[in-house]
Amino acid sequence: MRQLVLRPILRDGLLTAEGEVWKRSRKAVAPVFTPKHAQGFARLMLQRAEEFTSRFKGDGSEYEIDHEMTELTYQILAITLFSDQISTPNEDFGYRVERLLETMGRVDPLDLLKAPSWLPRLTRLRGRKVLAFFRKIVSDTMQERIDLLARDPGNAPEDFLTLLLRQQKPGGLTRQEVEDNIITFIGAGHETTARALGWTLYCLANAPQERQKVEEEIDRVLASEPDPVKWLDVMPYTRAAFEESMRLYPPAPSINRAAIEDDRFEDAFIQAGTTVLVMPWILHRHRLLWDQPDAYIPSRFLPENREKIGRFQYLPFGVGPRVCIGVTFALQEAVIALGVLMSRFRFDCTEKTNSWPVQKLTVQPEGGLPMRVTSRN
Amino acid sequence: MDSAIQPFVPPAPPLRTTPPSRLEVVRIIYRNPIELWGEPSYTKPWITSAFFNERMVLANEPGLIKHVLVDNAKKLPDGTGAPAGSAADIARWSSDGGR
Repeated sequence: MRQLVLRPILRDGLLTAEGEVWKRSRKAVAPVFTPKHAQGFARLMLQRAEEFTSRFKGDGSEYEIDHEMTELTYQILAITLFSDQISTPNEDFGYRVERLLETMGRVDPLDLLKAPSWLPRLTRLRGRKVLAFFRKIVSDTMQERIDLLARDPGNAPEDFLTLLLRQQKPGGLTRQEVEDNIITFIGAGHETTARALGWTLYCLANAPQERQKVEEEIDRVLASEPDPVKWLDVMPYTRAAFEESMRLYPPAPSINRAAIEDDRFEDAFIQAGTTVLVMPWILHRHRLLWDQPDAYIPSRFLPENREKIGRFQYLPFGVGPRVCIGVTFALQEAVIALGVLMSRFRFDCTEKTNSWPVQKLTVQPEGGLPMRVTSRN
Repeated sequence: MDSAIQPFVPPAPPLRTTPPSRLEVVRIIYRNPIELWGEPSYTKPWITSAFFNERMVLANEPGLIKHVLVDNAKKLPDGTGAPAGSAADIARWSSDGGR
């Protein structure tokens, strides 16, 4: 799925690159995503989340929360990794991401039928305009920063974008790889967290007793701990509510591997050429691995219960060499966003909320997430 | 009292108990792939399937997942997607290799 659907969009970005290109990209971006470095983003995340709350009147008006979470996580990404210097109008970015996923985020039937590659894929054709929009954003963003670095290097932010541009050198990344990584982080770097935040608010709206526990924890922590770096550790129930949502609605529901030589595990023979599917969607609901697998029970992720969950039965971020590089970033961002949003507002479903899960690139609610937002104060 | 409250069960496709046709499989994979999987997928440690030259393993056993994604990751690079024929076989309950 990742290669089939994302490769035409992200090309040699970190998510879709293979072999040596992947190794160089991973090495290039790793310094930004160390836990210590990610902690340095906490205050910016808090600032952006607080600014974002002004979008909600809090009078019970209805908002498309799936879309709102895309905007929020995009804005956090823009300020933390790109110092707010992405060349794009913020307001319609969420819509553009949704449009890209709608058009290109599906497996084309011709690919499933293994049709020759020269046959045009309808999904690719429909997505061309949106993809061109993203490519232009990246090209403009890169050029503006290159110009700034040449004109006034002392005033260029030392952020992810500058770090990547400095990797453009012999033995480092090519210009094309820099561009592919920028589009990867802009296009894919916030979408998964947005979906998980939306599902968390949805599940909590339908589980009032769980929501009450989260609200009580958030109210207590915000009243006593102003440093958002510490929130991830001192809000175990909020974190658990988020992790349980990712169990039921894993942002990346499918991991595909292809055996390049014969292999064996116990009595399972894996012949060269076999596709090996690891499906977090199925794994996270597997009857042999989970008690009440379809139920939303955040407490299973509380620290005292966590050791009952095996390392290889819960894979919202993947595992192994290709584990998501932004795990710490995403968890911290989620807890800060939930802390800020839920301290001020209560999110409730409406009669229009149609949350049937649909797998595109991520698992999304079919009808979006229209929710009523009411002030808690 | 808390223990008497039933936890919320959010929406999800029911585990498939009737086999889809191969044409249906293509439609489901295009429209919403998570609707494809049948009950054995959620109850067996792994399922193997073959359809002509297409072979597929659906891995649910944590040890096998570790083997595939960590211990032997170099021998199992990113794939290009589930072959429709094998996916259909798994969805159609016709696999005989699962346990």
